This record gives sequence, C-alpha cells and structure tokens, in this order.
Amino acid sequence: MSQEFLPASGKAKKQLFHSGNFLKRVNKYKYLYLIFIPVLAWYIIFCYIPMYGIVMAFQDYTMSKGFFASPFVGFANFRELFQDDYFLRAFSNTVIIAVYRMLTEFPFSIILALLLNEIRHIKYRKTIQTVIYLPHFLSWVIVASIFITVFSPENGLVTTLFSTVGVQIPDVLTAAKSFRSVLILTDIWKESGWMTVIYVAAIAAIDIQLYEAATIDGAGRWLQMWYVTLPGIRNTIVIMFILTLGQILTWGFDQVYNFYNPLVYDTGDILDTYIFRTALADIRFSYAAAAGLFRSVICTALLLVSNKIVKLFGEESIY
Amino acid sequence: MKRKIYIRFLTVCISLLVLLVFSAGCGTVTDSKGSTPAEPTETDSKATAADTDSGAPVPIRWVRTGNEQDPKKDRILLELQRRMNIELEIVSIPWDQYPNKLNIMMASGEQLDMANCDPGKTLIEWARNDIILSYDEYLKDGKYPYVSSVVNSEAYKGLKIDGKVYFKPLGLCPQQWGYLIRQDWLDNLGLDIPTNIDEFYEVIRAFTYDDPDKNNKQDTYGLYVRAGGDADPTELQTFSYILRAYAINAGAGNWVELPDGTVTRYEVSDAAKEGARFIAKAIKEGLINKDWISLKRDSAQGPESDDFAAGKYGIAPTSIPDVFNQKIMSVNSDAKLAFLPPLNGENDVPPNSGNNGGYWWGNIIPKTCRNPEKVIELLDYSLTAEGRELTEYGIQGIHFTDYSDDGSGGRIYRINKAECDKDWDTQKNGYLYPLAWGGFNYYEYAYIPITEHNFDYDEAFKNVKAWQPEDMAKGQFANWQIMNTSYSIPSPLMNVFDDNLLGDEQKLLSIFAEGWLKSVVDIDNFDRQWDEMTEKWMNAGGKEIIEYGNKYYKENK
Amino acid sequence: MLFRKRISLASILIYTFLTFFALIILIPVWHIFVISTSSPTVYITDPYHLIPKSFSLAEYKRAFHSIGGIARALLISIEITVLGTVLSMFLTCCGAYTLSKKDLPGRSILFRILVFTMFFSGGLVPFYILVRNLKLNDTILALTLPVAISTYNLIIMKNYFTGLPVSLEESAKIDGYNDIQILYKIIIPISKPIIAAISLFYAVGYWNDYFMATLFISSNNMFPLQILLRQMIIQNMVLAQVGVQTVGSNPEQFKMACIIIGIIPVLCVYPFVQKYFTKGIMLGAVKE
Repeated sequence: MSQEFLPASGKAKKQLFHSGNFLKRVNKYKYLYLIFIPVLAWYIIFCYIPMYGIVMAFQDYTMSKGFFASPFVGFANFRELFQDDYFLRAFSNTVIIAVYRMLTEFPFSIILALLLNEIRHIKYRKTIQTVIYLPHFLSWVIVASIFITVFSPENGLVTTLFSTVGVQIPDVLTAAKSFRSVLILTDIWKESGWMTVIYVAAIAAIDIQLYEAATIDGAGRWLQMWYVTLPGIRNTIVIMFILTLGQILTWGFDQVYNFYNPLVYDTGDILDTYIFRTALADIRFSYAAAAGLFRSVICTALLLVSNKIVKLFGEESIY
Repeated sequence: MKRKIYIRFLTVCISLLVLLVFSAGCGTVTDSKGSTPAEPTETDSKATAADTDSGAPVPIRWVRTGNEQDPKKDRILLELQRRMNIELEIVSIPWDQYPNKLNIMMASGEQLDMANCDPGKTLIEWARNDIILSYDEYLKDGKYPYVSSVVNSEAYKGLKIDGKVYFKPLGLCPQQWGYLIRQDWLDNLGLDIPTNIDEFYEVIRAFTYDDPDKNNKQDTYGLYVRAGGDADPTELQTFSYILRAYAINAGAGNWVELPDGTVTRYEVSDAAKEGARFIAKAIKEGLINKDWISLKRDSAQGPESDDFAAGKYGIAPTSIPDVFNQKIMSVNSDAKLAFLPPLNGENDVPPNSGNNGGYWWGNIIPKTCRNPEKVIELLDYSLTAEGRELTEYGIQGIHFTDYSDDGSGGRIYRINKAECDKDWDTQKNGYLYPLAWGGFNYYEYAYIPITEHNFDYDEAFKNVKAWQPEDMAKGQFANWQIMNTSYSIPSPLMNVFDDNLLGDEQKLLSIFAEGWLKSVVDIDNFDRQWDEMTEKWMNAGGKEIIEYGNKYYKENK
Repeated sequence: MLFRKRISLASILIYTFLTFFALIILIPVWHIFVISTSSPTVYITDPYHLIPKSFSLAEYKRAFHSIGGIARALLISIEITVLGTVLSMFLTCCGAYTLSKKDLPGRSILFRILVFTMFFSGGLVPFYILVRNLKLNDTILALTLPVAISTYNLIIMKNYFTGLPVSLEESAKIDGYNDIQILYKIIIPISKPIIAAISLFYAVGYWNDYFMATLFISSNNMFPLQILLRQMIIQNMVLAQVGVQTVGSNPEQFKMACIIIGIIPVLCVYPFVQKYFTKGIMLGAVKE
C-alpha cells in the first residue's frame, strides 16, 4: 500500500531520500498544498462524488429503481457486449479511425504550426491564423451539410472537377471504402487550424536569444526550425501525443453522426454512434454504461503505455 | 522513520477522504430520494387546501419542448393562468435534447407537475415502477369528461399500460403529409395523374428522360430523395408513396396482415421486399437523384421546397403545400401543381396514405406532481371549444377580431396580425398560437368536437372541424389534411405499446435499415442482401416479436 | 547565393500552401455568408454563387426579432465565458503549478487522482443530482463551476511550468517570495502564451457550450446565446415538420444567418488574444 505513495519517477525517488527530512519538505511546500486544496476539493465534489454511477455497468439498471436498488448482474453486460457482432464492428472501426487520425491529423497540425511560424509578414500571418480557426466555431451539422454538397455525385465540386479531367469517382460518402478518408479530411479541414493554437503558443515561448545565437552561427531558416523550434516544442508535442492517444477513442461522435448513413456502417459506425443509435434509444442504459467503461479501461491503458514508452525514450512524460 | 509516519498519516487521511466522498455521495442521493416524495405530499395538501378556498394560484411546473412563451409576459398564457387559477412555470428543453433531459429529470426524481413525452419503452418502465401517476383514479367520478373521453377512446386503447391510463395523447390528424405533382409537366408530356404503380413508373421515367420542362436539358428527376442521416429509409415520405402500393401503412415497425389471417412485421414481409425491388429498379435506371443517400433531409422542408421550386423534380411529398406552391410561383409563374392521390396498390392493397396513430406525443403526470387534479382540470379545459380557441387563436378582441361559422362547426378566424406579432414570431409559427401544437392538443387549424358528439371521442375524431385563418381557407390546398386523412388506414396492432412487441426496437431498426439500403443499391444481389438482412433481423429478437405479435393479435381481435 | 534562392523558393511554397489552405476554409464560410444575405428568389434560382448578386438583411432582422432576448442572451453568454474562464484559469494554474514541483511529497498520487477522472465518470444522472442538490440549477454557476477544470488543459499547463528554468524561482526565493507570490508575480507573467492559449480553450469551450445549458438551465430568460440560436434553427424545423404552415419563411437562409450571428462575437474578440501568440515573451526574463 505504501508503495503507492512513492513518487513514480526514479529521479524523484532518489531526491526523496537525499533530502532526508521528509516533513521538512512537506513544510517547504505548504503554500502549494494550500492552493491545491480548492483544486482537490473540486475534483472530489464534481468528479468523485458522482462516480457511484459506474455501478450501473454491473447492474440491470432501471431508471425507477436507481443506482441503489437495481439488481447487480456482475459481468453480464460485458458478456453481452462481446457477443454482439455490431458492437465488435463498431469497436474495431473506432480503433482503426483513431489510428488513421494519429497518423495524419496529429502531424499535420504540427507542420501547420511550423509553417505559420515561418511567415514573417505579421498581418498576413494573423489573417491566415484567424481564417484557419474559423471552422472550429461551426458545428458538425453545418460542416457536414457543406461537404455533402461538395462531394455530391450529382453536381458536387469534387465530382465535377474529376469529371472534367475524365475521371469518374464513386459517391465517396456512401462507399464503405472511402468513408474513413472523408472523416479524416473533413476533420483536418475543421480542427487542424485550431489544434495549432497550442503549438503556436509553445513556439512563442521559445527564448528568442536561441534564434539570435543560431543566426550568429549562420544557421538558415531550415536549420533554425530543425535545431531551435522543433526541440523547443518537442516537449509539447510529446505531451499532446500522449493526451491525444488517451482521448482518441472518444473522438468523433458529432462528426460521424452527421456524416454517416446505413450504407457505411461497415466502416464508419463507431462506438458512440452505435451506442447512441441503439442502446440509449432502447433504454439499455447498463449496456451503454458497460460499453463506456470498457472504453475507459482501454483509454487508460493507452495513456499509461504511451507514457511509459515516452519515458523509455527519455522524454518528459505527463507524470 | 518520519517518512513512514507521514505516509501512514497520508494513508489514513486519504482513506477518510474516500469514505467521506462515498458517504457524501450516497448521502446526497438518499437525501434526494427521501426528500422528493415527502415534499410533494406536504405541498399537495397545501395546494388542495388552497384550491378549495380558491385562494392562491396553484403552481404547475410543466416540461415541454419548443416553448418560447414566458408565462409572466405572454398575454395568452396570462389569460390561461387567470382562467384556471394556476401559476405556470414552463421548463423549456431544446428539441434535440428533449428525451435525454426528460429522462435525467425523471431518473433524478426532480419535482415536476406535468410533462410531454412519447409513448414507448421508457413510458412503460415509468408506469410499472410508479414514477408516473395513473389518470384513472382522478377520472373515476366523471369530473373531467373531456380527458376521460380521449384516454378511454377506442383509437387509443392500445396506449394503456397494463390496463391503466398513464398517457393522454395529443390528438393529431392521422396523416398531414401528402403529395404534389407538377401538372404542367404532365401536360407537356401528355400524361395523366398516375393511378397504379405501373403508371407511376411511366411518369417518373418520363419526368427524368423526356424533358418535361422543355428546356432541352436533361436536368430533371421524377423523384428527388433526401435520405441522409435517417436511420429508417422507409420512413421517407417519397419512398412511402411507393411502398404503400404494396402494403397498407408500409414502414418499419408496423405490422402487415397476411392472407391466412396471421400477422408479420413489415420488415420481413414479402410486401416490403417487392416495394424495395421497385425502388432498386428506379435507382438502377437513374430515376432518383444520385446523391439521395447522403443529402440530408430537412424537417422544415427548406431545401426540399427550394429544389422543387427550382424545377429539379416533379413529385414532392409535403405537409406544407402552400409553402411549396408559393415558392414555385415566386420563380416560375407557369408552374401548375396538383394533388397526387395514393396509388391503387398491387394484390388488392387499397389506396392508402399511411397512419400515424392519430396522435403526436402526450401528457403525463409525474409522481412528484403537487396537484394532479389541477393538471387534469387544465388538460380538460384545453379540449373545450373555449380552451381550444384560446390556445389556438388567442384572445378575442386582441389576437383576432371575430370568426365566421360555416354552419357545421367549422370556423374562419379574422386575425389581428399586428397583435399576434407582439406575442409570437408569426413568420415562423404562422398565425396559429404556438401552444396550439405540442402542448395540450395537436390537431392544428382544427377543433375536435367532443361535446357535440356526446363525449364519444372516436366519433368526434372522425368529424374534426377546420378552424382556419382567413388566408388559409382560400388556398388551393385548403383541406390538405382532410384530403390525406381520408385515405388513412391503420395497420394491424397500431398504437399497441407492449414491450414484447417492441423488443430491442432501435437495434432491429438499425439492422433493417442497413440491409434495406444495401439491397436497393445493389439490384444484382438484391435477393442475397435481402435474405441476409431478414436472417439477422430474425436472430436479433425479431422471431420472438412476431410470435408474440400473433398471439396478441389473436387474443385482441 | 544558391542558399538565398532556396529560401525564397521555400517561402513561395509556404505562402502558396497556407493561402491555398486558408482559401479552402474560407470559401464555404463565405458561401454561408452570401446565402444568408441573398434575396430569396436569387437563392432559389442559383444557390451556389460566391459573388453576391443581391443583398438583403431580412433574415438577420428576423433572427433578431424572433429571439426577443438576443441582447440578454448575448450578455449571459459573455458573463458565462468571462466568469468561467477566470474560474477555470485560477483553478488550473493552482493545480498545474503545484503538480509541476517534481519533489512535492504525494505528487504522484494527487496526479493519479486527477488523471483517473479523464477516463472514468459516473454518468449524467449522478452529475445532475449533484448539481441540483448544490442548488446551482438555473444559475450561471451551474454552467461554469461543474466543468471548471479540464484535466487535459491542466496537464498541458503543468507540463509548461515544469519546463520553466528553476533559476527563476530560486532567485525569487532569495528575494523572500513564497510559492504563491512566485506563482502570481513571476511564473504567470512569463507564461503568457500558454495562459493565452489555455484561456482561449476554456473561453471557446464556454462560448460554444449548449449541452450544459440544456441540462441545467430551464427558464427561457437564462438561456445563453448558443441555445437560443440552436433552438431557433432546430425548432424552426420541428414546427414545419409537424405541419405548421410557415408561408414566407426561408429556413435555409435563416439557418445561415444564425450561424453568422454566432461567429461574429468571436471574430471581434479574437484579435485581442492573438497578440500574445506572436511575441517571444521570455525575452530578457532571466539570463542563465
């Protein structure tokens, strides 16, 4: 039990013993403990008190009986999950789409931020930034309606462009094969600009003297980007990588919900849409809760594993 | 050593904290559970006392959607509150979050006096676990004849749960949707209005390929479909028109009577398969726009009416023919529209326009209601001619000047538009007060003459009287609803809500929709896709539902 | 010479790419604007034009007319955003700074307590009961306090604080500052870019939110702007769906006008935040 309270990193452990007097160190940080009290209190009140709702996943929950009177059924809900072909299909779709996203959108927003940083013309840069943040404020309902007309096989922009050069493309929105690409492309359109915010902020915080020193050493812009900017935001990239990985399975309900149709369930039906469309509407709350809990466990595992890997590579991990 | 002591101290602290958290969590809940039932009984006695000596207004906390009216300012609501001696508080939930939030409010035991909701599995669960009150005990002594006549009518008897009334449906005409056809296109091509499925096929083919608008461009379609995002493509009015030529009230979730007297679900019936095959053929031949699966349907029929006005297609389903007519006239004054009646079906299926059960949503009374009698009194009043007029057209002398009677109970109201504009957005709602729909009643621009038919609701329902504003009464499609309703035939087991008949409703629907679409876009493998869907559907609980349905059907014939 | 040439070629590529990307984004948004200001007949006959052929503010007028309390809703939205962002930033800074101390006793378990909540929650019903029991329903606090901390943002911030040079604090300690003073007098001023970024995340989150408001606000006169806009768009659909005759309305154009109304306030505020992203703030803060 007491092992739990040892600080996780080896370096810190060493420090702990070196510093000797433990209570003295607690005393040293007394002000920090003081300002942490409201934070901890917030977490306890708003996150941990409602946590009893998790029992629903192990119950045959009915609204009228509530969390305390509904009968417990053990892992029956989970068994039902894994026997449901449609759940398994939705789960594998979720994972595959998540992997695609990590491979495309994640690097894309970093590159975008780096390119923005290369622009010296301040007004131009500000305009571009404002424009690429705009779609973040449009809801997916709207974005979907825009792209449905763009991709339309009837007279949509994309189809027309392709047909003028003599290529007939199928209806990408209803073909199971292309649906995932549509999701990725539209998400890049909508969110990649917004995702640069954090990198732009990190770049802005890089000590300007480093650039000055690099210039004196004769480094051009590419070298500066490689040897100053990228190392300067490496830490941020790593953290974003871990955090994104930890949340990736919960992404995309609104997007998929507004784009999909029954013809692309095979490749595009994700966990959230499947649960929303069937279990919640059929008031199978326990089933939905079990699916959610299962996903939470996978997400936690992803976060822990990626954190560990990052540590192995000697990078700053999230804790 | 000190470190160990510290850690032990921390452990104790944290365990205490965790203990505290959980006790607080449980405490909060038991608290809410304990206090909510206690509270109403207290206020209940108070409220009844107040009621008897006609003192302070009785508070009614009502959850509904689509509400913009402020009970403290809106003149019609103020008048209603004065007449009923009530104080309304309206909890307004945006449309798309309605079921979600109502579920949460009910599950958390929040104090509510009245709510609007859909029938179905949730309602059954609430009723069986006494989360909502039954109307029966308050209707026993005949104090509320209007409500009584509605809930005990033949039309809604299937809505009872274990023989008791929990749900007062909002009466609605069984079919507000109908079809418009471009008469000028028919004339250009020398065709008549189609009367059966073969003629219909000829018409949509000609509308697509024979240049009905004579502009020498192939830019028209017979049908223009928007199915995007819909979980159930058979629900689309465009397809329904075709599918109903093969089965009465065709559509997922409905039942079909077979020649041998048994029933089966529409999803797995031969009628559904034949209807789907027709659609598959139409798609293959390019008679339907290519982007029909992804284009989103708009419930306001905005893009639908815009495209129709732009002359993209020739046959339109709509519930708002005047809007379609007005729009097309604004860009093309040569256009001529006509009403397209349902087809004479295959295998002796009569022309039918579908049936929604004759209601849309209903009122329920949660257990936490402080004064159920008053709520029912309010519902009762809303069904009287006086109450109906107030909730539909407002106050005489303010919102309308007067009305003329057509001699048989129908009325034409002379609206005072300037005054209406002050209380609601007339551009959005028209000159019908927003409380006219989705509040107490649903039958818009109409009155259900319950008194006139001696509280026989079924009889009254058949003789609904049109109450229209002047502008509407003279339009080309003035009796649109009546026209469509005249073709309305209910399918077997309509309005029966029994959880064994529903099963995992949405999961079954999802399987059906996926299989249905895969079949119709792939005519070469139509039969294989269809059989696969049928098998999956049956295995997901469909078989049990059909068995139970037949048993129920036999017993309740 | 060659080197210079390559750089300018790269610049051309970068400028072209970014301009192209921005255009791809801008055109549909511009199209929404054009639709919202077209006259109805122009819109019906040619819905896909990008150069305005007509100009009409009728749908905007209607939007302002039909939401009686648009000014009030806007005010409520601003209140929520300001109050929420301040609250969030206060708690997040406190939490992030404390956890950024590597040798803080108990840091690991505290951190785990926080991270656990990123993945596990009790669901909506217990949450709703809690907020109701705290008597927060129908107040602005209900929309801010229960969602004040995003662990995601807190971790980003903590990570940023960890990366700051230790020498800063050491020199401050010598000057006799305690930890709280260090946080507010030294750390926060030099962390402006990240504070601006995280504030922006929080502010936009509060501004865009409608889910919390549908959950906890039940009276019309407390609705924030997003609910009003959304309700207008969606309710418009419901009314027509169920058959109310709406002669003379253009739901599509009305919808577009509502979208533009929702974006304009953001565009007005954004330039003020943006300036924090362009400067190197650390300049001259400390010399190691």
